[in-house]
Amino acid sequence: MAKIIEENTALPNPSPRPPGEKEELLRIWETPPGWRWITAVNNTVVGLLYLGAAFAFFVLAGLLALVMRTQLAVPENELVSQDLYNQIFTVHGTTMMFLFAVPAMEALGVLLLPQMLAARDLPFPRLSAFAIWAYIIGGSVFFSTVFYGLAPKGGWFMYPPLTLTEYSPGDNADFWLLGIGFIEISAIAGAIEIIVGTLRTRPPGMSLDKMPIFGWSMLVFAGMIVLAFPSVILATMFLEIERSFNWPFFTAARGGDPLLWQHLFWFFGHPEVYIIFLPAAGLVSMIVPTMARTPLVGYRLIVVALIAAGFFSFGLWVHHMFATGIPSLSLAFFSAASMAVAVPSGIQVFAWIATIASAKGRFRLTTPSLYVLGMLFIFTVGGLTGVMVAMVPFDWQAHDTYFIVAHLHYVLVGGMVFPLFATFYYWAPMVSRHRLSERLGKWSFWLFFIGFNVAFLPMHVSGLLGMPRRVWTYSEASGWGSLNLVSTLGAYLIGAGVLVFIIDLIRNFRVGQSEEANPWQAGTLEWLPTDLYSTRTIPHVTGREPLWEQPGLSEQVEAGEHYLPNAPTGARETIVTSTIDARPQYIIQMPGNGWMHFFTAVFTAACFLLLTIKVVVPALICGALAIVCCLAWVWELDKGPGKGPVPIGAGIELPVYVTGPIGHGWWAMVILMLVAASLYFAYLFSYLYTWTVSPEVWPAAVQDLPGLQWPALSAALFIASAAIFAIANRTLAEPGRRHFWTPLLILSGALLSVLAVYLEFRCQWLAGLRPAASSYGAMVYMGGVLNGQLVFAVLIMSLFVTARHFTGKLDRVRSATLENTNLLVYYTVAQALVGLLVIHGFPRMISS
Amino acid sequence: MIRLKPSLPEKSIGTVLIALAGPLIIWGLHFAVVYGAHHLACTLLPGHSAAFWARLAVIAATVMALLALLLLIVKPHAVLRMNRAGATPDIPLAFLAGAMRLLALLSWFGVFWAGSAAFFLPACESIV
Repeated sequence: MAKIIEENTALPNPSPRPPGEKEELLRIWETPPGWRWITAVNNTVVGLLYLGAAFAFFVLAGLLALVMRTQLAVPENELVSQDLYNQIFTVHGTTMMFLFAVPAMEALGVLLLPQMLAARDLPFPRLSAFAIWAYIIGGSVFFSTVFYGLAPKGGWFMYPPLTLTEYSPGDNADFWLLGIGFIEISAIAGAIEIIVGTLRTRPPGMSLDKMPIFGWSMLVFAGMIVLAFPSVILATMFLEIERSFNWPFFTAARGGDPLLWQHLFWFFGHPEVYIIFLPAAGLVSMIVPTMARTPLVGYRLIVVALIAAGFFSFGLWVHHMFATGIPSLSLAFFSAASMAVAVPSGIQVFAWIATIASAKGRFRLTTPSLYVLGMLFIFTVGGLTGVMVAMVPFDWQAHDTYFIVAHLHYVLVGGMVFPLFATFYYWAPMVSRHRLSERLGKWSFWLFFIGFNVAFLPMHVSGLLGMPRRVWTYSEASGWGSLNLVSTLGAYLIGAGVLVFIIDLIRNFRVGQSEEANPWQAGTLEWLPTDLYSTRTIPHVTGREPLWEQPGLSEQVEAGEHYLPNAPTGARETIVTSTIDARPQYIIQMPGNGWMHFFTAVFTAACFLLLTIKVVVPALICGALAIVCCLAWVWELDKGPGKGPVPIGAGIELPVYVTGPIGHGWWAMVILMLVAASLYFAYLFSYLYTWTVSPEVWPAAVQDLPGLQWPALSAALFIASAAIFAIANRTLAEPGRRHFWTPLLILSGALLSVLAVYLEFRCQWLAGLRPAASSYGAMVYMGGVLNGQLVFAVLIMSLFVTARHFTGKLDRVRSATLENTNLLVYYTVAQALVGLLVIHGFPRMISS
Repeated sequence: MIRLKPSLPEKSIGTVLIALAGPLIIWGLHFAVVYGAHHLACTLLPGHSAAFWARLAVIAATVMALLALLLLIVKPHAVLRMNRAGATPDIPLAFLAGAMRLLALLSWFGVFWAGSAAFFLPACESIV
């Protein structure tokens, strides 16, 4: 190892590079011309598309806000009907949260992270592209429902019982449930990409303590998505199944509980606020040091604050439920966590102020700086009112009033939208030929900043005067008219600010190579010279602000003097490094442009949307086509070790193929298992919660339950399935040879799991349990559904690896696909065994 | 030319998890235990006994969590060395130990803040 370090010091390597290297890189990373650009997977192309789509949804949802503010400008207004108003506020909130805020942050992750890490791309470029197309298609259809009266009306939180079929007939609510559920899948796909990217594709030398703060914030952001989103996915499954099949998860008359939805929704919904805020805080932590021309004060404290806020945010969900009659001591736990989370948020604010102060007057007051300062003011006000509503007695007074509308907009617009506009102005020169205009930017900022405070500051007062949220209109006698008129004027000022920004974009934003290298004189790697292939070479990093600390780095990187100056595998690739200290480990061979991820997104969207309008057979056909396209997409991912090892510079050779825990595919599968585990944990919580609410619908006697021989047989089949998959992995033949036993074992292992799930359903049915009869029945069958969907995935993957075996693409060396399948099998079996224990053991325990 | 075989410094992922998630997992476990135990005791046990067991569970869980966090604050290096990460270099390890200490401190206040409510509020009733 010492020898390698010695070799590293040999970088930069000033020896002349062979001719044609850059041309080859350009050819490999080319963006397809014309309409075929939709097959592109480059992070810069799809990242910009993602960000553009998110901004378009922001503008559309903003226009809906203007309609709402116009309706509320004067008392007893009838500009829009009550029914349409309900649709508008639901689509406004849903679009802002699900189609703008989270996707915008993921888009910035896709666009900026590889540049900040000097990686050629994130490790799963087609997964990013799939997530983006799925989001664009699903989001567009969802948003369009407001134009033809099919939009949901239950608020962005869709509380039952209002959203049950009895009170919300028609397909409106289903568009929310299936549309948003589908978009959540896209968010999780993006999160997997970001976690593996930040932990495994940092440049050599960039140990964890040198990672840019935006990398840390995206890591926390993605981890939170992995843990929080499954909860709302389960909730949407419950509600859609109740609406479609009458399984009573939320119907109190049959043992369900509407509050279960609130628990599941807010277990996602409150972390969601931090999912939006933390990456934005990461962006601010990148902009402030550049504008202050000094390193960030309290780097370690900010890392700690990001992680702590991420965790603490999971202990806040009940603060949305303070008015639901929960015992005071329980409320106190959540009240305490709600106040505790203010500490890490405060740490970040003070660190930014300290950095600006440490500049001793050298802080540049540019448009990004103005937006950051605006954010500091607005977010701090929102944080202070947040501490107020964290106090239970105050919350009871302000609950569901316009005070809360003011608070949440101060937090979300201050915490996310202002940093996003700072980002637009700061990073535009990275992807555009010209900077955006400072003059127009300052107009945009002041209109936005003044308009925002004019619009939302009076809402604190109208809320304290008793104006409830979501009202369509109000009487003149209420006395809220003048405050609402002022708020409406402010909203139009915000609209004017956004319009000026759009004009600036139209005038100045042109995708392409920037005229200026590093226009802000920043210290981080995204300001290295780049082209389609990202940076010409991947630098060896020795500090947190490499461009400040390593003079001449830009020129060295561009001259090919660092790692990977060429394309040794002849295709797209980047370096994978170790998690903590970023030592080079291997080369990822990445896929290029393609159609299959696009078609997978199209057919998946079609499947979900056709299901929404109950066109079942075409929906199933689209689902099958989505699976076929997905398999065609992943067929070429495992390229095998044929081209390696390859030299990367500094006298180092790296393999181009690895298997097991070191491989990025293994990491993605483990994160996917965490998603599944989080979803199952939410299910177990729901099962036990429903029992505490309605124990009377649980079996009174052991005789009402299936005999123990049934779960014992299911468990034996599951365990046998896992054992057979483990044996199958050991029977893999040497390259070029095949064993008859391998596919036989793989398929029989999968079929045993299918049989085990069938037996579970069968025994409950024979025992007389029906899913629509009670919440107990619904929960029991739901457990089977959750295991069944995993077993279905195992079956598909088993067929896939079997096909690879017969085509000579699976052997003892090239075994990543089977190893990943095995991981899913082991997880599925573990989850199923826990499920059997709970479903068959818990009722016996309580009845005895 | 040095041919690097990808060994498994990924064992060090355990170090990262212990340092950066360990203190907050203790906070999370404490949170889940006090909320779950309190909910179950108040839902399932009768009157006075429910209040006694609910409060006892909260206090016991709080004391245990505070002691565990105290260990992480006082001896972060000792805890990190329990995971034999071998080749983890000194600078990132010092960074991780410092971060763990700060996270444990924040978590300590989070646990103390939540747990101390058991001394001031009625265990199972709503005060409205």
